[in-house]
Amino acid sequence: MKQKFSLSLILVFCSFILWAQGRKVTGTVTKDGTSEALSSVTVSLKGSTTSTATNSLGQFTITVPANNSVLIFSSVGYRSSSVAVGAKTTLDITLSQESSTLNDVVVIGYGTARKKDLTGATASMAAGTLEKIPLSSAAEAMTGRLAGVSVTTTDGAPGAEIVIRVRGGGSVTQDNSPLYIVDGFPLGSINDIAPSDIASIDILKDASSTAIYGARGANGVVIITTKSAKGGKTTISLNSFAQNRSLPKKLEVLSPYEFVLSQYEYARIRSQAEVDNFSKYFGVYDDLELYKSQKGTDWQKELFGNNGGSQQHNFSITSGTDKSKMSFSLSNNQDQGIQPGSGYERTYMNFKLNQELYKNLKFDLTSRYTNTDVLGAGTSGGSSVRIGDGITTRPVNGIADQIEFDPLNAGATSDEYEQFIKSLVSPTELTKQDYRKVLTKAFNMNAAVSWSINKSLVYRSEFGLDLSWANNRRYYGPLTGESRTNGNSLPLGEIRNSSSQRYRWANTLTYVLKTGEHDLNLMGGQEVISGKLANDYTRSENFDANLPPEKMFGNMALGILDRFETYEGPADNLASFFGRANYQFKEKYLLTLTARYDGSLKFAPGKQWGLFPAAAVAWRVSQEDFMKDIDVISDFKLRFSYGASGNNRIGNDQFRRTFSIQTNRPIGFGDVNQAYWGAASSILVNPDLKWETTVTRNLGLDFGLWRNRLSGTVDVYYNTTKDLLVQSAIPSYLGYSSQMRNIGQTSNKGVELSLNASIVSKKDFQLSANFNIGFNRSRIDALDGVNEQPFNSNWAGTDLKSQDDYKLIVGRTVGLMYGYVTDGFYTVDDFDANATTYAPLKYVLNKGVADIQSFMGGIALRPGLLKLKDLNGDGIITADDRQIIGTAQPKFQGGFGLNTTYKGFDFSAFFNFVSGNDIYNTGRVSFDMNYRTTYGNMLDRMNSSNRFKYIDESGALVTNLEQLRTLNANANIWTPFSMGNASPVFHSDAVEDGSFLRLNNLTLGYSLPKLLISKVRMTRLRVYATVFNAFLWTKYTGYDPEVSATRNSSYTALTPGVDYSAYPKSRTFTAGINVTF
Amino acid sequence: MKRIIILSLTIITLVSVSCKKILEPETPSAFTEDYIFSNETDAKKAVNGVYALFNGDPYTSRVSTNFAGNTDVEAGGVAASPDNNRRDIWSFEATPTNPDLLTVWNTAYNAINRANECIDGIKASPIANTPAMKQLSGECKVLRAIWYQILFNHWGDVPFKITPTKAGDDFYLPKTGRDSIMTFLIDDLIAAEADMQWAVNLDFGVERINREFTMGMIARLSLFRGGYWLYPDLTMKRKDDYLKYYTIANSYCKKLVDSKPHNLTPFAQLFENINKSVKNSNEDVLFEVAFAPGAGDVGWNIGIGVSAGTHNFGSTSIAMVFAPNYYHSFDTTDLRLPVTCSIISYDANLLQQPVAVTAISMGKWNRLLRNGNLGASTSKGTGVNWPLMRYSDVLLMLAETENELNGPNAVAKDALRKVRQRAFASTQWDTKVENYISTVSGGKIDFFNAIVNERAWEFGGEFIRKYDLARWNIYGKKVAESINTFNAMGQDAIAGVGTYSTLPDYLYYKRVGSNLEFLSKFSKPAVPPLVDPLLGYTRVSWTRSLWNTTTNSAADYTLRQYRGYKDATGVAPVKYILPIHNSIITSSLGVLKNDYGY
Repeated sequence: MKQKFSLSLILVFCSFILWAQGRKVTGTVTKDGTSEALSSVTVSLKGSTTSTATNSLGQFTITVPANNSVLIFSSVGYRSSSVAVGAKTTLDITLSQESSTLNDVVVIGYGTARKKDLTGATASMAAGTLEKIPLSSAAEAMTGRLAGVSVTTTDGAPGAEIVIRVRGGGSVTQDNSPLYIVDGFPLGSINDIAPSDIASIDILKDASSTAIYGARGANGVVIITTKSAKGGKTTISLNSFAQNRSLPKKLEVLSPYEFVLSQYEYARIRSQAEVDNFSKYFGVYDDLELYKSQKGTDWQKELFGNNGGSQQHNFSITSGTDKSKMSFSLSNNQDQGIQPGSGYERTYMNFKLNQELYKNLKFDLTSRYTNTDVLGAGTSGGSSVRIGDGITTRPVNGIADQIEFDPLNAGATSDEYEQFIKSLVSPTELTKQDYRKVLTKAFNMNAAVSWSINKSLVYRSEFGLDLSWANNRRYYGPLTGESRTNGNSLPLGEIRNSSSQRYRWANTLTYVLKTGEHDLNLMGGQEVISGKLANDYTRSENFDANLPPEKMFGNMALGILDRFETYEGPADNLASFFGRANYQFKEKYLLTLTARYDGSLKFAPGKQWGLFPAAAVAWRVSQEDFMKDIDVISDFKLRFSYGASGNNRIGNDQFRRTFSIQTNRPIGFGDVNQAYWGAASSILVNPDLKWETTVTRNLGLDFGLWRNRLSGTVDVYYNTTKDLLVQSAIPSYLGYSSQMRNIGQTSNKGVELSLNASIVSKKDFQLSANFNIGFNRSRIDALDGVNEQPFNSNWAGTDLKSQDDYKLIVGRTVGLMYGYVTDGFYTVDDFDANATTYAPLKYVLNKGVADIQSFMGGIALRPGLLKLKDLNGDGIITADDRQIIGTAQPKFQGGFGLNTTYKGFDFSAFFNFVSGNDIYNTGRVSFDMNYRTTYGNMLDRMNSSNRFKYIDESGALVTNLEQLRTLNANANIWTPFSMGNASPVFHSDAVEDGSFLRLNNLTLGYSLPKLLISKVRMTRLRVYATVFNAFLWTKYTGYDPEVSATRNSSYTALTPGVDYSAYPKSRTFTAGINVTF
Repeated sequence: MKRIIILSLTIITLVSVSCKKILEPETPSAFTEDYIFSNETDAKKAVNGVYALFNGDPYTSRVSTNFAGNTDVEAGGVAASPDNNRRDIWSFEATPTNPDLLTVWNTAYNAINRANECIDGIKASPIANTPAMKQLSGECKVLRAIWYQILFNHWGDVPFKITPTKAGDDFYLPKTGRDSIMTFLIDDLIAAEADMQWAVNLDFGVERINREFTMGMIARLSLFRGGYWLYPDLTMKRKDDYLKYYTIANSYCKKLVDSKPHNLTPFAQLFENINKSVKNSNEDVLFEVAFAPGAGDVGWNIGIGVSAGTHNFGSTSIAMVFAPNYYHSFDTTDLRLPVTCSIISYDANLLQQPVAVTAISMGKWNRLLRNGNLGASTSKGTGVNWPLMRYSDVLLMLAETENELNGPNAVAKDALRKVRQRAFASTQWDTKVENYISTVSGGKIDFFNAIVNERAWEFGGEFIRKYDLARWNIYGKKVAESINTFNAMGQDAIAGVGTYSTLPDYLYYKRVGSNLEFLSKFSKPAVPPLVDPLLGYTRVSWTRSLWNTTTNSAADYTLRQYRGYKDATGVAPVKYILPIHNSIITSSLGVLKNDYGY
């Protein structure tokens, strides 16, 4: 191969052009080492404009003028080859696959560039990577694969929100999501894109590349290009897979016996009356042994044991001629969650057409339709069912499980049993009553005309529209909190309709000039995005208790109308002008200048426009003469960029006071709710708002070693975001507690490394590996004049003792957890045996032992209580005894993978990891106590051989210090009754290391031999099996460390890393088939 | 080249036109200030937004009811240890992390800012001088005063702002003295009063702020301005010019009594009306906060207790009750007693049950009167309106100011007479009204003490006692008195001798249908009846539960109720001023700090 390459090079240099009478040369191009025909290979005559392409069988015909003509064969992903025609009339050429990605085309915004020509920091993922793994979302595919890009699924619910952050994200309170551009159109999320339709994902990370998107590029840009049609033969493919989900891990809870024992102990500590109550339901102490043989209900299995299968089918056709190419794809994805009644169904349709209208006029059309139905309210956000229900719901119903009681002949006592049994709100029943269905339809269409005015000037005009409709149906059954507190314990329903229409029109003019050693590419353009939003909200109450949700939404008039609200407003309108200049000298020295001038509706007239310039230089050192002799290095490029990009992601009308009609908690003149005009924005409007700007500095190095067998990229960056659009706290005596201001500064510093290695590349055996890692340090450089600002994660609402459990501190990162420091438990030695009296019972602490008094609201101070560190040394525990006890920001994260093929078999494994972050595991607090439960269960950590106990073998209460010492000689954890049932305390025991290494997916595939399948006209038949979330190495004791979920329905940027009732991630087994005709 | 130029020109034209248009922020669903205050209908809807802040937990179940404990009248049960919640306010142990302090403070300033926005908007309106707009502006000024009154009654000196908050303002306001705030508000309302309309002329009568209530507010604010308050050095003082404000209060009470006398509704009828949402202008209620069905917590966290059951009235979660000595301070023939104090509650089957002596509930508020429109599983949101001022308050303020300025003269006595005449059957007027008035009219101090008592009997359960006690500088005295009385009642009950030994040590009752019949509600029967539920009476321990016989010391109830107050002599002032919430201190960047030893 090496010889061939050198030979062709020599031929190139030796050849000179002679014009003579033409003659035809025909031939076939195949892939090196196989018999696979390569289509769409460009065959061009060196030194002329004559070119053609191979057809679907790899065949070509070209007219050459003379014997000494040289033909160049090139195709993306293959090393190009030059061949002297000589006297031959037929040529059979083989092209070898390029292990380097240098010629890969990267989408850079209003254009494309080859990777080797880039001056900015980008990360890309080609379809090849996406094809082999069966995925139900594009974002999922990106997890851990791109250096500097963090992808976190907030929880495991089907269709859960996915949080993507490029290089940490600069904003403090604003949306840090990158800008998503799908086939040129900016979209709010990429959930509507079928993963099977994606051709490539490109991520622009520094200002040099994002500045072309000026306005909204500050948090990086994710560009998704869907698959395009190829000319030539018609291809039909079918891809299908079926999945089975399961809960990979269950938390261990107290056994029925341990459960009743703990409840007995709790009753015994409190009073005889409580013990009597307990005995009524669970029997007397001496009989509790019987529970040892009882098998309790496994509520985790009941709640998350749904093994409902999922499936996805994709059908696609591509076809066309040289002048007209089309592709169509249809996908359907049905996914059932592990929680009964949760799941979603998506149908995608994608159509693309590329038509050459005239010789110099091309027309492109893309249209996409998505229909999504998501069912189930999940477990976080506004749902009624909480993960905790799987843990804390009592596993047995005591005596009631043993006796049959007849409601008709119920006496006074059995009435109480009925009450007791009724007090158990079955989580599975609750799941059924907590119903949500979201129906979304989206239609997107883009049309573009490209006019090659002359050889070097191209004008392109794109027009796109994006329409979407969502219908959100929420039903609250009588068991839900909403119904009980606001709906008279009868079903109530809400319907929220929202629609948006957005139009985009962009015009660009591109000028290309190549003379000698100079290579210039100029692009200038303009873009407008405009649209409208509308939504309405209906709420009706007091429906019949037996009315099923489906019927309710069909007959909303059966209830009593509570609210009907409508809203209409503009979308995120934007007008822009932009330009870019790329200049190369001798293919060694590269320069890119970019600027964008953006006007946004979100700012006051006069402050609407912002200019975002950027510049980048690169030096391909490997092209220099002095590098020629260094064989090891095949490519070496240094890049530096500096530039600014903007962010305007705030709500509309934050710069001026507007009023909207409101019906929430109005005054009731005349016993009728009186709607009122209220400030449309609950935060103080600010006419001085302007663009937030991120300045990025990036130093990068691209290298290829051993003929690009090992290639990689290293980037070092330093981003500062100034004029932060911060919703900053203002003193609440102003009538508003916050105002949107441009204030403060944050920075992100980091290093990223990605490596690709082609280890073995033989005909029958290929092995490649990839690795990426990103280190990011975020810092708050300046806040709103203050040095610290408290925040509440609100997982326990106002129940939480000292609610401000997060802090922002200047000089430190976002996500600092603020709480008490766990100090074990009070031992017998902490008490003064002489001063302690037993009648009346009064424990007296030794001098110097911090007094927790009744701070936590649990049982009175005694040995065994959870002890907190007295940080300020004043002898008593107060809210002042808190410090930073955890940080949610990881030190580094990344992934690595292995791909191998051997004959027909292919195998791939991919791991991702996160390290150095802490997780605020709310379960370590709320599942280790009776938080808001009566006769509720706890985690097994609190079993009788671990916890500090107060009852002896006969069930009697032990109060004597010495007896307590003997009884608890082996106790290693505090009593679960340390905290009040409604006042959990955040202490450092709940902060856990969130580092993990996950075997994200494991795939084994087999492609049937070509010979065999060609008989049935197939070109490819592959069967495969994949395991997702196959294995997890972590010290984290909750369900899954990849989590960020709290009470709020969406990701909370300022209190990250909370694990509150996150829907557990499932393990998925997939079997699938790919067929191509 | 030519085509390029044409193309460029076309594009540039199209682009510049479209740019301009799409950057115009026109929103069909939002209106600007100019429009809202350009007509009366929308201006009224904007003012409704100020009123709307009454309809939220910080008002309904916090400041309007809970913050007024604990006194010798209203007193909520306090737990064994501080809970960093409402109970700490009752026991004078609030800390700067108490979440209730934050929500009430924020709501108050939110309302003040909305009022400021409306006042400014109306001022700038082209129709600012129409009677309707002037009335609306006056309503906002009174609403602003109500919320400032809440603030200075609980936090003392507070930041003071009378203009709507705008970007660029100095956000970091220091505290303004209570005296300056009150002086401003009094002058402000005096200026607005003449332009306001009587309740009978308003579309929603006493549910809208009206002229008579404005006069009452001027008097009430003046009495606060002329009264005592707690200074950061923990002393109680009043300003030297206090008589000036007694004069203002006096003149506005007189002005109302002379220009627009109201009828006093019979006492039982008055509260039945409120519970049933019957609203009459020109009667006792001057202004009440309007709650539509489903809103308001009157009859949920205060009122007669009802347990959830099969009936249609839902359930209560009673937070505030009466102190036991209050119940026994009434003349037993006072018609206000059975209306005000309830010693029964209703169980799941709507059977009456006796309450403990420490849980005497507020009979003025009763969800059972809601005519069954509540629903079996309801709790909050009773729809019962919350009266903020009654005509009898104006009469008693008249009597009080007249006595302070001129001694117990005819005007003072006449005002008191009107209130007492309603409180007793006309057959008893000789003894209970005329004789009583002459006994207490011997001097200024006697008459003042009579006013102190009369206001307790008249307004128990309406949560104004705390603020009266503070302005009179007798809060400490009344707290100490209560503690001593509880102990004496308990000890006397057990010993069987002493001042309070005639009070029922047990309450004996028997069931008649679903009701209870008490043997003797106010005194100990000479011979205790046979206690046998089947044949006759059941008993529940009454005053004897106010003493702990095991430890032979005060009952837990007594030890806890006023725990933060330590002076048994009642001389030390009560630290009734609350701390400012920590997060407010933080967000003020050090401009605000907590005084009073917090």
